[in-house]
This record gives sequence, structure tokens and C-alpha cells, in this order.
Amino acid sequence: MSAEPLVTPAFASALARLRPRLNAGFEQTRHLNPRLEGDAVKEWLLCCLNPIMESLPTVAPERYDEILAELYALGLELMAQDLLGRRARIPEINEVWNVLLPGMAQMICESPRILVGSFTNAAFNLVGFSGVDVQGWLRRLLSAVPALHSLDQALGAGVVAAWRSGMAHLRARALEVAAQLDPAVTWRLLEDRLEFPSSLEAPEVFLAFLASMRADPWAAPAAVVASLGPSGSTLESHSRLTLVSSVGGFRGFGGPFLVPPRVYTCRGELIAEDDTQRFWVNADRFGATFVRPPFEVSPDAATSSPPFELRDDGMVTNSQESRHFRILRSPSSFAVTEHTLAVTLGRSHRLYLVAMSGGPLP
Amino acid sequence: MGQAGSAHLSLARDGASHSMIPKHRQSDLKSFQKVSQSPTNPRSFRTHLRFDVADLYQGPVADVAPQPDSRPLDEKLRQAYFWIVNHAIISPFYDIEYQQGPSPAYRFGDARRALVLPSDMSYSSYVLLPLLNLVVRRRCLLVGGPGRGKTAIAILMGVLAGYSLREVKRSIQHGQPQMTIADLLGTPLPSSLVGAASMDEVKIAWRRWLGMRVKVIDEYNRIPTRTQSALLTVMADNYAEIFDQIYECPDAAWYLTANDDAGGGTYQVIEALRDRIDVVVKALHFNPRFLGELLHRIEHHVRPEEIVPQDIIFSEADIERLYDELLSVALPFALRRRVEYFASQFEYCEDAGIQLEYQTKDTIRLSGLDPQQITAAGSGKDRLKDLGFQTRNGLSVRALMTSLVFMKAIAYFRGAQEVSLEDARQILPFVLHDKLVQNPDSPFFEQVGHAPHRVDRIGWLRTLFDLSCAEYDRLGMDGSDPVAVLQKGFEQGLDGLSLSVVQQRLVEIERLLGSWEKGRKVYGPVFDDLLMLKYLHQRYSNYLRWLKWRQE
Repeated sequence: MSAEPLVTPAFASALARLRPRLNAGFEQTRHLNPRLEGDAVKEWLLCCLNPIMESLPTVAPERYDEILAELYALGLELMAQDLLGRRARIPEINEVWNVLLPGMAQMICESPRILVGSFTNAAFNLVGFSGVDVQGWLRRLLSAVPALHSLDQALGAGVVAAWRSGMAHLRARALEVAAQLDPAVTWRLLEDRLEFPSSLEAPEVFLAFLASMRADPWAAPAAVVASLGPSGSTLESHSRLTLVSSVGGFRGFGGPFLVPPRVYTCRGELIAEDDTQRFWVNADRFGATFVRPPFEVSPDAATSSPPFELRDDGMVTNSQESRHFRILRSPSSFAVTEHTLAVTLGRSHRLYLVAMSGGPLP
Repeated sequence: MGQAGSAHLSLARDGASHSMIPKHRQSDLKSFQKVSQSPTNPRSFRTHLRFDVADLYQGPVADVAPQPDSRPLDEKLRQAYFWIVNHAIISPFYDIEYQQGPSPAYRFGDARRALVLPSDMSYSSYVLLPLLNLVVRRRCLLVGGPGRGKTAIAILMGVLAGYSLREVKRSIQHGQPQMTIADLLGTPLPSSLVGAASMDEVKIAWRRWLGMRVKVIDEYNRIPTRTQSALLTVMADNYAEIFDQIYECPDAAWYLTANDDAGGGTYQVIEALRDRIDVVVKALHFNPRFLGELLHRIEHHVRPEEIVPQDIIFSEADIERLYDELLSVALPFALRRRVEYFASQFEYCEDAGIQLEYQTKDTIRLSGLDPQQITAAGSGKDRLKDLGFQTRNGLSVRALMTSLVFMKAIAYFRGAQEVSLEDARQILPFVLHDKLVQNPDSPFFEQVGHAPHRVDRIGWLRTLFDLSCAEYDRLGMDGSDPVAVLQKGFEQGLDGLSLSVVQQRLVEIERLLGSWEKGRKVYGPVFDDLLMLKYLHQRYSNYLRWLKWRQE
């Protein structure tokens, strides 16, 4: 950090009023965590907490001291664990505090610990998932913040942004939450680089949009909007069999599998396992995650007319077309869900996913 | 959300959300807790039946659920306890001991007193009892020499109840010889006093502390006797009265402090006020090995009462709910019988009356005579075996009710669904500390090694309970208790009982009395059983008369 930022008068006077309490909190925290440095805390106060508190006097002047004390205590907790400040092991948490929170005064006032703690935890969790675009999450949220007016909206937006950034297992819940948000906010979280389609302002169109997104995990938001008529009815769309994604990988390179996996379905969900672990695979347009199955796993019985068929030579067929995928020759296993064909190869640690897709994948 | 910590741990250990657990997360999940997780009830890892989106927002920062605190309240209570012992009050003692399996014991000193290393979670009475009192809203007396933290823990309880530190400190009533009733309760507004045509027109400026749910009386034995009477009204009946004006006080947890527990001080504490104390807690000594902790606090101006975490503040609704929940903790019948047996040891005094009902120590007390004069002749009973001879009085209804509440409270705190024998054994001495008065003439105290029982009342009461349980076991009361059988039959109700059944029961009672009549020494429990049999006999007799009248 370069020059010290200016301390606002409100911040300075609150620090003076709360001085004994803040000092005692620091000493107590340092007593339990001797690595906590006074200089680091001071720097954080000036460069991180000061900007966050800047807009608070206009939003909730009577709670200024209370909120400052609460955020200070929370900051100490995190700094003591090297999760915030100059020693932060996860820089994204610093970004949450430095970049995201300053614009969220109104929501912070509702409940400082819940809002700030939740987004801190979310950044912490997102970083732990390989393949998740944490910077994208931050960017999308930041673009949506001016249009968010409550704690619930902010937390909902966080879920939608997390899904959009690659947390595929959040898809169903994110789409539920998106229905509670303003259409423009939802759009910004999904496609922050595209202009908001005015057709989504109509409630029935917006709901149809969400329903279409829910129905097809590989649908592109822009393509869905284009496929909706004025009243939300679905127009003809053009899609074809596409190798939409390859997910997974060798554990040594950050993937989940020790040896090339097998795939099957259980309760209509994709399950992938190698010799050591079993995962519930969630994959969609925006990413894929591997999660411990939250249900008892037993392979589904084969169905008589699956949505996709695969031949040994890599030919994939569904009700609309057949297409040859050379890479899918000699599969070791494959599984079919309503929208996706998942294929494993004896020579690869990855799952290859084929679906009907009408637009380029992100 | 008290399971938030467990959820953190389960995420780490199950790897439920990750293909790999990143290294940076592994140590964090183990060590990051500002409010320590209660280790009293290690919970099995929560398995996700379905992935909950709320898990996105769970992580190193605890308790961020965007909903009302869903921690079980007993969990929150335990968290409060552990925060206090870890961060606030330096009380590194485990005098409330629980065992689960073998516990090594070592003997020290000339008297070879045991140092037991408890094998189960154990607690400091100095922290636990005030905390339980906060929940059950009774009256806790903190005793100990000056400067031992009695007022500090009372203040902490006020902060835990949601009051600001300033509010708590300003509301403390400091006993001093000049304290008047007006100082304690309030004064009439001069303007209304002048203009009032009758007493009920007088407006009173009531003292603010009367409306608080935590009341602290510092050095209550320095309050003048007259003012003690006014305090008694508030403590006993929960209202204050001045000039015929009444102020109804809310239910509150009381904390009174005194430098000694003998009722002495600047003024003798009136007996009725002393009797209102529900639990007595001694401030334990300070172990100088922890001087470093004191030094740190001095050097860094650390005052724990100023930094109590919000997570362990209890709202009024929390305390109401806590109390309801703890009352639902079951007291098993078998344990209840032991407590009944113990409680029945103390009241009986054969020489106190002619009629059986009046043969109690209370009869002697009311007569004003010296109990020693009455009992000097002796009755041939074994005064060593007679536990009742160790006391000058019996247990009041109030003491028994308080005992039941605190037994449930400690079981609830430990996360149990029912009160255990050890819960009763551990808590009763603190509740009965001032309730049972020792009889110094009892030969029990003359026995080798028993002299400290004269001084250590907690130890004495615990020994008393143990002896009672031993006698209960020796008599095989769990398996052979004819009065309990008769009582149980009666409790099933009289409705529908036929004439012959009632007569049969009467005969059973009379037969039992006849068998006991033959040369059986009467000790306390038998005395109460005799009265119970008389009661049952009377109730059945009345019913029989009614049945016969109906038939005519």
C-alpha cells in the first residue's frame, strides 16, 4: 500500500471513543495469537476498515460505533488467523473487504457480522474449489452491488454469482434465489458483460427465462432470452450435440481422481468414482464440481430408451441427431442423465460431457 | 448454529465440498474459534442429507446464519461457561467432579486427603453456579474474602443477560450502614408528596435496579436491619412497596455478596433474608501459578467484562426458553426416591412431641428451648448412624424445590435428558449449604478424620448424601419399598375403586404398620413413611365412607 489514506473525521472520533475497548480487544486477541502485529492492524484499520465505514454516517449514524466495534472484532479474528490484512494467505478475502464491502453500507448496517462474515466465508470456500472463478465472482457481485438494497438480496446475489462462477452444485438453489432478485441484478450476475435484455423486465418473461435455465444446465442465458417470445413462450432454438466440457483430472494436478474413473448414475445424478473415492458430479455451462454424494449410492438400472446413446467408435446419438466424437472412442464407461452424456476413457482421468448446446461455452 | 463448529469440522474431515482439502484450510478449521466449542457433548459429524446452500456462507467466521440463532440453548450456555473460564474469570478449579470410568486418585497431607483426577468433564463451582443461577433466576450468595472476584462474576452475569457494563455497575446496590429504605427502593417525588390528598396519589421515583433481570447486592450483610426487611420483600415476593405504592419487579437472578457466610457482618443478617438465599458459592482462592495472566491483564488494560462476545449474550426470551427447557429434564423415579430418602433424614426428633406429626426439630425450635436439653436423654438410637443427628433442622419446602430446580439445571447444562445421581450429589451441597445447620454435638464430627466436616460444609453435605445413599442401598430400597408401592397404587386414583379393593388396601396399610411396630427404631425416613401410611389410610378411609354412603 502506498500513501496512507485520509481518515474520515467520523472514523477518527469513533476510534477515540472506543479506544479502550479496541485496545483491549487487540491485546486479548494477541494474547491468544502472538503473531498478531500492531502495525498490521493499524494498516488494516486505515486502509480497509476506514473506507468501509466511510459511507456509514449517512446510512446509520447512530450505530456507527457499534458497527465499527463489531467489524473491528471480526477483523481481528481473521487477522489472527492470517486470513486478512498484510499476511493474508487468501488474497481474495482481502479483496472482499477492500473492494466489495465499501459499497455495501446499507447491508452492513442490517447485520455487520452476518454480511461481512458470510462473504468472507464464501470467498474462503470458493478458493477451495478448483476451477471456480473467484475473481469472476467478485467482479459480478461488485457490478450488482449498486442495485442491492438488503442483506437478503446481497446474500442471494452471492449465491447466484457463486453458481455463475463455477459452483455448479448451487444451480438449483441459485435459480430459486434469482427469482427473488430484480431481473436486472440477476442478469448482471449471469452476464455482466452483456447488456440487459429489456424483455426480461416483463415478469412472465423473466420467470420463463429462469425456468428455461433450470430445465437445461447447458443453456446460455443470452440464447435463452433470444429463444423466448414476448410473453415468455419458447421459440424454436437451434442446438446440436456438442462436447460441452471435460472435467475432473488427476489428483496430482489438482483433480479428484487417482486413477481413471468410472461413471454411472444414481437417482438420475452422475456419480464418478475411482478406486478410492466416489463423487456426485454436478456440471453445467458455468463449471463442474465434485461433491461427496449426499445420498446412499446404488447404480440405476439401465433404461430402455436413454436420451443419449454411445457406440464404441465414439458415435453419439439422440432423438435429434447423431454425431461422431473421435475422442470418445473405446469408452471405459458412460452414463446418461436427462441433458448430459458423461463418458470416461481408460486412458484419461477426465469425464467428457456431451450435451445439446446452441451457443459457445464460456 | 452451535453446530457450526461441528459443521466446519465435518466439512474438513468429510471433504464433502472438495475434491481435495486445500492445505490452507486444514489447520484453520481446527483452531479458529473465538467462542470455544463446548467439548461436553462431542457431536458426530453432521452428514449432509442434501447440499445446503447455507454451507457457502459457513467458514472461519462462525455464526453468520442469516436467521435467528438456532444453536441449542444448552450449547450456548456451555459456550458461555467455557468463554468465562477461558477468558474472563481465572478459576482453574474443577471442584464439581464427574467420572466416567476409572479416575486416578492420589493422597496427600497428614490426613491423606485425595486429589482425584476426574475422568469426565468437570467444572468450577465458582463459574458454573452463578451461570446456572442466571438461568433459573434464583438467589445466589457469593462468599469469600475481599478481592476474590465476587462482584466481578456478578457483573459478568449482568452483562451476559444483555445489560451494558455501565447499566450493571450503576445498578449494583452497595450495602453500607447508612443505607435507608429510600436509598434501596426509591423516594416519593416531592411535588406529589406535597399535593397528595391520599397515599395512593403519591408518586414514587423508583430505583432503576428494581426493574432489572439481574440484581446485584454487594455486601448485603452491611445493610441495616430495617432496610434488610425492605430487601426481603423484594427478594421474597418480587415487589417493592413505599407509601402504599407497589412496584412489581420482573423475575430476576440475584447475586448477593458477603465476606462471610455466617450471617455476620456489620449487621446480623435477618434469618428470613438468609433463608431466601438459594445457593451459596464460595470464591475459591487464587492460584499464584496464574499470576502471569493477571500481569497480562494489568499491562494491557484487559477487562473481560468489556469484551464479552455477542454470541453468548442471552436475551430475556433466551432465558425464558432456557428455563422452560431445563424444567423438562426428567428426574428418574429411582433418583427421586434417593433424594426423598436423603431429605427425610433430618426433621424427625422423637422427643419433640407427643403426637407423631409434631415430633420434629421445628417443634423444638418454635418452643424456644435448647434442642440439646430435649435430646440429651437419648432414645437408644445410634447417634452415629442417625444422619439426622448431624443437623439441628430439617429441610424446608423451599429448599427442596430449589434443589430440584438446580438438579435439573446442572443436568441440562451437561446436555443430559435426565438428572443423574452424580448431578444430585454435586449440586445439593451448594443448595443446602445454608439450609442444614450442623449439630456440633453429633459424634460424627468426633470421628477420626471427620473434623474438617465442621468447616467444609460442601464436603460435609456431600458425605451426608453419600451416607444416605449407602444406607438406602443397604436396605435394598430400590427393590423393597412397600410404601412406594402403596403410594403408587394410590396415585393411580380412587375413581372406580370398589369397596373390597379399598378395604384390602386399608388392611395392607394396617398390616405394614403392625409389622413395623415391633421393636423398630424410628429414624427420619421411617417417620415420614409412618406419616405417609397414615395419610394413605385416611384417604382410603374417607373414600370408603363415601362409597358406603353412596350405597345406602
